Amino acid sequence: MIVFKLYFKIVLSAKFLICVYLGIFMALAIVTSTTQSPEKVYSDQKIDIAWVDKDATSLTESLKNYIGNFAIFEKIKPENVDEALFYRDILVYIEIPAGFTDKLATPNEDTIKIKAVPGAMGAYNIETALNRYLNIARSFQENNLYKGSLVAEVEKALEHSMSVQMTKSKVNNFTNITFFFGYACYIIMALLIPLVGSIMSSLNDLEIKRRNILGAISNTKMQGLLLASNLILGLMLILILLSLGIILYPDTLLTKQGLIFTVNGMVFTVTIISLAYAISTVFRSQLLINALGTVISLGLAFISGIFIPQALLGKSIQRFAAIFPSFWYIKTNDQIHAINSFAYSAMKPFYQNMLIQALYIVIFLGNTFFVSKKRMRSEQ
Amino acid sequence: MFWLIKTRLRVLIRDRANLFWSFIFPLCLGTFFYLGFGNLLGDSPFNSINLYIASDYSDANLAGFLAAIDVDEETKLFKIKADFTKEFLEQKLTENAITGYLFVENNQLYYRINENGMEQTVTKSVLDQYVQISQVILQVASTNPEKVASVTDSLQNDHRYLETIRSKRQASSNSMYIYFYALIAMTCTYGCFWGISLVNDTQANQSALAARITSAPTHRLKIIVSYSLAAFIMHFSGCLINFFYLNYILGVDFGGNIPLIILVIFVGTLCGIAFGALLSSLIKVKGNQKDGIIAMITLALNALSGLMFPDLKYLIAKYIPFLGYINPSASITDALHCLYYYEGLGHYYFYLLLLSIMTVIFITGSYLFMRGSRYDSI
Amino acid sequence: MIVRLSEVTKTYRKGVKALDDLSYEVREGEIFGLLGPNGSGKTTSINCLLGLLKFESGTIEIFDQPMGPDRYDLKAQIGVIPQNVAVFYELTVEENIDYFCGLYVKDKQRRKKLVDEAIEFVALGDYRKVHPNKLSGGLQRRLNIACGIAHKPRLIIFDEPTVGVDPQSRNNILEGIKRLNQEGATIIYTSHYMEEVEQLCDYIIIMDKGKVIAHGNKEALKNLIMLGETIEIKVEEPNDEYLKPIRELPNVLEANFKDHTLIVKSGKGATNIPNVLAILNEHRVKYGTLYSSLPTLNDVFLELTGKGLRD
Repeated sequence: MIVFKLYFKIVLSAKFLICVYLGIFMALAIVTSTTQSPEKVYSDQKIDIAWVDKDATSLTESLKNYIGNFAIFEKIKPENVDEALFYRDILVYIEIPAGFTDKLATPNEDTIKIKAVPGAMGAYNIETALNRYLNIARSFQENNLYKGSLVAEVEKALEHSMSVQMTKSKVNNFTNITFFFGYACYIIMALLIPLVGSIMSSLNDLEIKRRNILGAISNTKMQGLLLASNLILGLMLILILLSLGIILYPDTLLTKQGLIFTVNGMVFTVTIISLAYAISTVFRSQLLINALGTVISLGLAFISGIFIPQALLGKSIQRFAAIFPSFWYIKTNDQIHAINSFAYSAMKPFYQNMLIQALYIVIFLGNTFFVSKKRMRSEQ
Repeated sequence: MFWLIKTRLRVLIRDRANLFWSFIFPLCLGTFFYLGFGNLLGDSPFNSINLYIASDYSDANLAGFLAAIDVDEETKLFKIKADFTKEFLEQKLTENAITGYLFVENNQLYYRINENGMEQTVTKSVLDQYVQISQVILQVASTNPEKVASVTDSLQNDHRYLETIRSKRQASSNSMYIYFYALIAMTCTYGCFWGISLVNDTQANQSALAARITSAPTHRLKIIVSYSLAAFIMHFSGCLINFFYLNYILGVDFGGNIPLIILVIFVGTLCGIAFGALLSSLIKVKGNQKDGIIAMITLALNALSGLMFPDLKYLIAKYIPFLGYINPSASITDALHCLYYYEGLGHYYFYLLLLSIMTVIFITGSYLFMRGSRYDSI
Repeated sequence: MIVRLSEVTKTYRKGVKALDDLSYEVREGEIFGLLGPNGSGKTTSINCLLGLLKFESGTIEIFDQPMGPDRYDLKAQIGVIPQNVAVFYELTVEENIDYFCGLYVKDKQRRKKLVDEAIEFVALGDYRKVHPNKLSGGLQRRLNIACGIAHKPRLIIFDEPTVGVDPQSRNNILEGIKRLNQEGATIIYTSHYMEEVEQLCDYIIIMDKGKVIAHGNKEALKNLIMLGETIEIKVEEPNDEYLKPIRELPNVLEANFKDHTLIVKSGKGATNIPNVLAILNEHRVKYGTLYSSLPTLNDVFLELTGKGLRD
């Protein structure tokens, strides 16, 4: 009991700092997860574009209507296009030159000018849709396949589309909590490594350690109690984050799938506690621990798929990042998002990740106890 | 004064913590960025998508059509895999091992997916095209069968109607560079740690050391200016090293106008140090707690300027522009981005002016706090 | 007068009066002691003296001139040894002393000589190139002193310089202070250790709650109180039977037992011991060792305030 009391007294002495840390991270979590979601970045959603039609024919009007399936039109003056693209008011700018329709069959002259934000995902859809419409129109025109209105024939042809089957009709959209738990991974690392490191570095102070060794509690028991204290701290953190998640997304978090996200998050927290514990055993300097905490949390956030989706990372980076537990956590987090049943086959990736995280915990804690014992002998 | 600067530099050069934040950390993070999305800094956003077709459905036309689509001269959009049964593919889809597959049911072609991800969207767009073209050919076959060959030929010779406009500067335009601009901004704002040291060592109510220095007969302004100059020399060096590492070693394109970039970094460094000094004078707690709070505030400002999620910067610019105008990190990021993006310098000077105004405010504010040498309590 | 504080009042934000109409004067060439418990205002008065703290009323003069934060001419003649070790941990011992001396002495050659002398004075010659974090507490304190005296100031202020220091280092420090005084420096020495102040100081003021409650040299201070002598006798059997007549002796102020020790506090007089022993012999009390001590400054403080210096 005395060890727990001491531990949490040290935690409370830094309560102001912890509150500031948590406050800022939670604010960022709210802002980023409500404004960011993978779906907005790369899905069948409409993007903002600017459309300037200098030809103004029925064909270009019909083309515009067709593109309206993929885009929302914003009124931007041509001279303000660069600025609008810079500030992402629009992602694509399209300008149809005068006389375009007349030269449909000779597309190398007077082409449509397009300017897009590089890498904007919706831009690809728009480009392929434009080319598709115009090539079908050209083909009809070249082969005289229309009676009356070319536009009507093209529109009729474009009514068809690929039939898509979704594996489950999602009543709930788990995209937001996927993102939330992904960002929570960064918060857990960024908070726990310096915090645990700071507390353990006070307790690992040589003189205090010597005093403890002379006390009634054995070193193994002491380490065990400290580890338990750290785990309680981690649990408190994840509960605070969960509370935030429940406030933001009650419909999705309070479900069976939400529970799986939570369990995944909790197990990862334990892994990070073990890592933080190991770091504080190996490194004594508070400055070094703070530095490591920041480098590890930010660095892993980038290469594990928190800030940049794993799918977009290079293969060699993914292989490198697979050394770290955060990579597996994010991978599983993304897989939980797409779970369509709770059968073993669907849940297999989740169970595999639990085993992987357990392995990391064993490695980190094993290292901790080994280094701690070795150090104790040398200090004695 | 030269002697004061020299001695102060001797102290700072041995300050391991601040040396780490100025010199080592930005290089580490830049390297992580480069490793993380070096893949995306080129122009090609896609790796070939594995497209699975259930083996009990074979359509040479479809497979041929899909296999022929190329992203560039060397990369095809799809890698067609048609050797698996529907049951096997369904199993893999359930396990999320694949993103989707094609199959036929009741003579209808379906694309079965778990969710609307990037690969699925792109694939669906191409499949729509196939369906539409197929329907056109079928229709022509029923109404004008003599024209089928001509129509097929016409549709297969896909003409490109679009011409992408890019200015010379945007020749290799890539939005991933925002991360690196935000990293430069973060490095500049980490001058706040030197600002904290400046206040700790000159404000008598912050440390016994500062009280001792304040009791000495050297003019207060001389000490503050010398210490500030020393801090600036240290941090500016760190920022420059970081910039040259990103630009010349990692090959990140900043647009080429090196003197103007260095000017932004110069002002940004001053801003960061002054910001730290001001916050340090305002925040009443001492020691590690103060360092932690200021580090968090700086991290938050950097996050809001696009360090973690670039889109956040645009959302703030759209809905809460005021927040962007008072964030020094955002000004630095935008100034660098403008240099890269625009031909003219108008936008760049706007953000540089914004940054300069903030710098003057921070310097004035911190000086007003620091110049007093009598305190209510020590 | 080197230093003159006149009716200085300083109140902290929460209404705590740190200095309450405080006045004292320091003569040139003396070792002036400021004695008082923690929180009595010693360090606050020093910080006001140095122009670091604001105060509401009163005046402070140093070298017969009003002191202020911009009086660099006065600051040039003052040396400060603060309570906490105030050195740069990034610099070596020699670099630290050189730096702080350099804030006072611009001439490089003269400064080098002064630095060497200061290092020798505090006996840190073997540690020139060592960083302060590698030094023990006592050695750090010595460095702290060297940084404050290297420029040979006229007035040196020591603010509790021996806190947390081992007895040997403490003796070295006190001897060093005496030497500095012999070389011509005026010393202001603050402490809550009465033994040091008694040993060192020519003139002492005792402070409590921001006020001077007594001042003078040590003899004058001890004369302020009634207590003249404390007698301690080890007895075999403590018994009220003989305690009562001892208490009734004319010069006895107080008599009690503490375990097997009889403690008798008496006023000034030459016959205190014989009178007590006479009663013990009369009652055939077996007794052993006998101690007699003169009053200390702690006794002065106790009698004046009702509490000890370290309560």
